[in-house]
Formats: sequence, structure tokens, C-alpha cells
Amino acid sequence: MKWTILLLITLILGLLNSTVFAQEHDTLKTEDLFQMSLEEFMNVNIVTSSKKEEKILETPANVNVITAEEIQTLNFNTLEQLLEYAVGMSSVNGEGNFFTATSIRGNTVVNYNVNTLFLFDGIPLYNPFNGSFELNIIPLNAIERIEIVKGSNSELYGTNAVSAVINIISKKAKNGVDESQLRMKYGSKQTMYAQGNLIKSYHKLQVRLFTDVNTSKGEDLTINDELGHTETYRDYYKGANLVAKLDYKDFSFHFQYYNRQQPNLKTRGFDYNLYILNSDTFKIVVPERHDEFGVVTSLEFNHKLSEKVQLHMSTNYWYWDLRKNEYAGYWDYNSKSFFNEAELTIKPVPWISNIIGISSNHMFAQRYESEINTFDVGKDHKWTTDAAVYLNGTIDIIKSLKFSYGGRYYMSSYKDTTLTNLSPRFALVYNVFKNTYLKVIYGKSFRVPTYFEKEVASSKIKGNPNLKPENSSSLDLVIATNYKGVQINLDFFNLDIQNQIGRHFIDIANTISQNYNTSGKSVYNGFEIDTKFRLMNKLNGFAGYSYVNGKNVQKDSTTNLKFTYHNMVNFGCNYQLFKSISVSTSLKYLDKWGEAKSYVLWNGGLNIGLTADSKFELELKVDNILKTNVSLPEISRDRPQVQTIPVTNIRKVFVGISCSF
Amino acid sequence: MKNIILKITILVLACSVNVDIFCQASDDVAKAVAFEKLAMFISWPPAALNNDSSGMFIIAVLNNKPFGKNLEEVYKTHQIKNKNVQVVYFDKIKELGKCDLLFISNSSTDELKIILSSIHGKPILTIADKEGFAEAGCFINLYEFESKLRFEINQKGMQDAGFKIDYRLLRVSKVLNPVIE
Repeated sequence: MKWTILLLITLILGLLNSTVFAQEHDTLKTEDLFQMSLEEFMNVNIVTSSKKEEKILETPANVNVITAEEIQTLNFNTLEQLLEYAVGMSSVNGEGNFFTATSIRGNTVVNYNVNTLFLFDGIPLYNPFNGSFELNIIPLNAIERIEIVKGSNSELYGTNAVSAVINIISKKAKNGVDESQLRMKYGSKQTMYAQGNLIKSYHKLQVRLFTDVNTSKGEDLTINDELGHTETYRDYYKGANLVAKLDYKDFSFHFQYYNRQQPNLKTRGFDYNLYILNSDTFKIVVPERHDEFGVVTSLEFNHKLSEKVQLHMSTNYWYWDLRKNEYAGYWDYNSKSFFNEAELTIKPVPWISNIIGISSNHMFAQRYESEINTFDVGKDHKWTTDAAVYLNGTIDIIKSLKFSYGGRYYMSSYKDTTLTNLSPRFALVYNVFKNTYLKVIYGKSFRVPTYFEKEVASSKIKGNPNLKPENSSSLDLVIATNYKGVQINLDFFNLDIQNQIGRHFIDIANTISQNYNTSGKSVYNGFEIDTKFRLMNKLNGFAGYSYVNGKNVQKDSTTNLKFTYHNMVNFGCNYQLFKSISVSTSLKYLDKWGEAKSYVLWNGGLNIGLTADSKFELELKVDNILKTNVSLPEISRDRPQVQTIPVTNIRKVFVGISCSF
Repeated sequence: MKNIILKITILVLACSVNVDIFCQASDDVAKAVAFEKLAMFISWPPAALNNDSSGMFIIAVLNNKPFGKNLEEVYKTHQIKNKNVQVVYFDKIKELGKCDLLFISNSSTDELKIILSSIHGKPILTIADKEGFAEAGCFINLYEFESKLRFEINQKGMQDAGFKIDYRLLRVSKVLNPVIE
């Protein structure tokens, strides 16, 4: 009883003092600053750019950040290329080379990026057909920053947030200054990267346009097919993107269109073109051609209801269409979804913040095969409907200790099947000393089976309508610090995925086929160190190392996962030689994984300011300076004849120009 | 068990008392507002008043358009010395016209010397936000200390140029070249 009274008194005192208890400080309005006395004004905490970096350090999540400055100074061409140099990330071939899946922290999933969620300004770019996304549908010049949140995070983000959430944040006018930029690069294999953006403000309306066009005749790459033949094919590419954003008062409208053409590298059933050169006849494989386009629209409303309550509402629409042109006909894919979300951010006192939200999705996908004039996926035109409620809160226990808590309850309905899931998440952040934080993060997440996994009915792959959601849990111990311009993020992690959905080979009457099923438990352990440095205002860059060990745990056996790399090193830096000349270099080392050999990929660049203010710049870039032969494991078919898929083996040189105005 | 949980909770809550007041603002906005705070405690030389024909308080910004745009936004609805504020931009010191306050941020020490010599004798309050600029002759330098905005004031330089500084401003500032009276 005595303790209960004490508790109540302390609580009351705590609440009375709540205005003086603030770790998550309130941002003052300009008007407030004008009203202050000189003494009060000089007691205001100011937040500088470096302070924003500190915010990332203390956030209750394991976050790797890539900024627009790094993208620009390191001279990357596409988002996919850029993320190759993010710590613990590496592309693998998806179906052929068309869908570039990504292995994050060693978790490699067949064909699609189903264990990662991709957001663009918070809009999920989630394709209900395959549960995946494509990195290159976002123009690189639209990106202000990329936040890669590692670990199981379904609490805030929903399905697929198993290994990581990649959140792309678009550029806005800085301090009300309009800006425009054009950039073009041309080089080897008739490759062109052209980008443009325009940011303009008209009173309370801000218009932002971002576009890019990327084309390449492509490298000739040599592969083996399932019959043991060695063949050559051309890895061409054409793609264009447009993103338009309008911001007016509390409203934000997003429109995005993308289109791309790319070959799909099939390792069986090739079509050939015959060529004659110096009286020798040789053949070049004609890959299956993919034509794809997509549209994303979103309307967002953010409104401050009071000093303590903020409302956020959004509604998004996704449409995707893909046609695979083969010599014998075509396959037509499409998917659409409506995604709606409403959430309240409530800060009853400055040291507690809660986000309470509800979301609801309505989605559909199908696939049509012209040869047999039928749909295998989505043939009965049934939509999937899901809904979720979630809570995410943060409380400052003491000035140097923050606790984050929450969870998401999810349920979906498809045909006669109802799936449910509860994903909690907890984190503790302790400010050990200035700019140094220790974090312990535990989270669970889920991944719902896709239309393809449930319904595919091709001659080689069979779907499984009874699949249940994958479940995962992750535990991270993170040390994040910033010392004299060097930012270090050290993360020791454990990721368990239960009921991981995958293709399993079956042999019925000597016909090998693959069925979708679940496969016990996959466990990934390792650590990552991510550093960023800025020294003497001349040298800036990043360096990362990651180590992973992946195991498959069955009831009676434990085996090493074949497609998990062990060691990866990433490095990139830019050095300002003179006021208008800078050099950059980037490097990646990836250990042997699957049957693919280890490799070192090294790139270099030179930027020369053509005018005193460097508004016009000349760019020179050399990719794969060492002409390294890079190949990746063939993960989708895993046949003895086809163990790897080639990526590149030539040096590529580019010359470009950029202007800002 | 219940008691232990209660005791831990009380201890944790008790530890939470005695924390300083914190309010925060972006550094750019705070710097912009600081101009008005500083002007409240500074009197311009009489020559400035005699030359005042526009009725505006003119802030000139050298080589920092983003900050100037921030100033424009902040002073849309606020005045300095009871005058509406006009922000003018220029890239070269030769282009500098009439102004009451000159903000210098992206210049080298050598460039600063040229700037200061070119405006010598004019009733222009020079403010910078770069370490060492007050020592190098700029009248006021803004700097950050323990996440708070602080002022360095070149008292002798300002007095020689005819500016008068209220003691209340000097009391909260770091005074360089103090004038012993």
C-alpha cells in the first residue's frame, strides 16, 4: 500500500514535471522564437545538419543511411548499382536477370524481393503478383536520402519487412530555394543515363518533377543452358521513369509512371539468331523480351490537430503490367492494389510518443498464357483483402534511456482462407556518452504468400493455396557512434525465419518439377560494421564489412545454407583535389557463395567543375576497372548444368555532363 | 514479485525528475531570428539614419542564397527596428549596394579581409557564422556551443565603427577586443 501511494505521488510529480522532461524535444515555431527574451532565446537547443545525423544514431532501429551527396559525389548511375555498395546488400539474379532480387544480411530468396519492403516516401511499392519490387523504377536524382532499416519490422511496415525496409525519401526544396538539374552520361555499349529534375515553389504549392531515361545495347554474356550448351546472349536494357509530386498545404499528391524493356535470360528453350562473320556462322541467343510498365498514385494528408495530436492519412493505387514475348506467344501479367492507411501520432507529454494506425489493402493479380489461351494465376478473379491495426510508441524512461514498444495485428481474407498474425517489437536505446548509443532491438515480422506462390500452375512450377505466412524474428545489438566526423554503426544480429516459403523439387515419374512449400527454419547470424567519414572537408565516403553465417534447421538436421555469402566489403570515397576537381572511387568484395566465385569490383570517377560555381560539371566514370568476371549463383532453378549467371566482365567507360540551375 | 515491479517503476520514474528544459529550433531559423534579437540591443551610427531613404531594413547576403531565402521566409511577417526587412543577394563584394546588415558565411579569411576593407567606414553591421571571423574583424560571429546559439562580439571594432551595444547583449556574449571604460 505504502509503495502504491508512493507510486501515485511519483506519477503525479512526473506528469507535473512533464513539461520539463524532454528528450524528444518539441520544435518551436518561428513566432515563438520572436516572442522570447534574449536569455530565453539563448537557451533554445538548435538542430544542425550534424544533429540530424545524431537523430539517426539515437533512433530505436538499426538504420543505414545513404545521402544524395554520396550518390552525387560517388557518381553512381542507378539505384540498383548504388545499393550494391550498401553494407550487407548484394543483388542476385531473379527470374533470368529480369527481376533483380537482393540478398540482405545473407538472406537470399528465390526469384523475388519478398523479404524486403520497398517504400518511396512511405508509399509501399509492393507488387501483389510476386510480392516484390524493382529498384530501378525510381530516378536516382529524385533521392534525397535512403534509409535501410535492417531487421524484422512488420510492426510499423506490415508484410515483407523481414530482412530490411528500404525507404527512399525524395528531394524537396531546401530553405524554399527552387532547383533544377540535368545530368547525362554516355559510354560503353551505347549506354546512356539521362536524368532531370525540377523543383519549384509557387506560394504554398510545391511542384517536383523527376525523370530519367536509361538505355544500353548491353554486354554479350556467355552462359550455359540446361542441356549443357554454351551460349551467348545480349543483356540490353531500356527504361524510363517519371515521378511528379505536388505539395499543397497539408496535402501531397504523388504520381509515378515507369516503363522498361529487358531480356529475360532463360536457361532452357532458347531462340537463336544466326550470324555470319568471316565465313563463320555463329548464333546469338535471343532472350525472351519483357515489356513492363507501372503506375503508382498516392494522396496523402497530414494535419496537426493540436499541439499533441497529428493526423496522417494516405490512399495509394498501384497498377502493373508485364508482357513476356516469346517466339511461341506471350505471357501477360498484371496486378493492382489499393492501399489505405490512417494514423494518429499522439504526444500526451513530451517524453511519450505513440503512433496508432489502421491500414487496409485490396489487391489482385493474374497471369495469362496466349499459347493455351488461359489464366493460371488469378483465373477466378478473386481479390485479397487485408486489414491491420498497429501501435508504435516511444517513451523516454530517463534522459539517456529510451524504450520503444509496439505491435501489429494483421488479418487477411482470400477465397476461403483467413490468415492472421501478430508482430510485436521492442527496443531499448541507451545514450552511453555524447554521440554514442547502445541499442537492443527485438522484432517479429511476417510475409504473406503471393498470388504466384499460391496459384502458379505452369508445367514446371506448382503453387500451393494452403501456404501460411512466413514468420521471422530478429535480435540486434547495435553500437552507433559519431566521433569527429566518423560515424560508425556496429550491428550484431540474429534473424530466424520460420516456415520460409520456397520452391521444393519433386520428381514424379522422372519429371522434375518444383512445388511451393515451407522449409523449416532458416537462421542467419553475423555482424555488420558500417562507417561514414568526412575528413578535412575534402575526403568523404563510407566503408563497410559484413559477415553472415546461414543455416537451415530441420527437425533432425542442420545444414549450411548454400546461397549465403560469408564476407562482404564495401568501400567508396570522394576526394576534393582542387576547388573544382574531385576524384571518386568505389569498391566491392564479395566472397564465394553458391557456385559463384568471389570477386572484387572496382570503379573510379572524376568530376570537373566547368564554371567557378560548379553549376556545370564534367563527369568521367570507369566501371569495373579490373575487368573482373562477375557472376552470381543461379538460385531459381538450381540445376547441375546451370550453376551461375554472368553479370559483367568488361570495363565500361562513361563521359557525362551535369548542370544545376 | 508485484512489489518488486512497483519498486522498480517508482525508481525509474523518480530518476526521471531533474531534467533541463529543452526546446529546439532549426539552426537556420534560429540564426535568422538572432538578427532581430541582436538589432534590438545595437544602435546604428547616426550616419545610417541620415542615409535611410528606403524605410526598409536591408540585409545583404553574400554567397548564400539558401540562407537568404530562409531569411525572406522568416521576415515575411516580422520587422527589425520597426522596419520591414528586405533581403538582397550578391556574389561579389563589388556589387554590394546600400544595406544595414551584411551576412557573410561562405567566404575564406582572405576574402573576408577584402570584404571588410571594401565596406570600411560604412554603417553596416557585419555578421558571420564562421570560426575566427570575429577575430578577423567581423563585428559579430554566430557559433554553436552545447547545441545552443552563441554570439562573439568584436566590441572595439563595433565601437570604432560607431555602433553602440547594450550591456545586456554584452552580458550574454563572448566579447572579443573588449573596450575598458
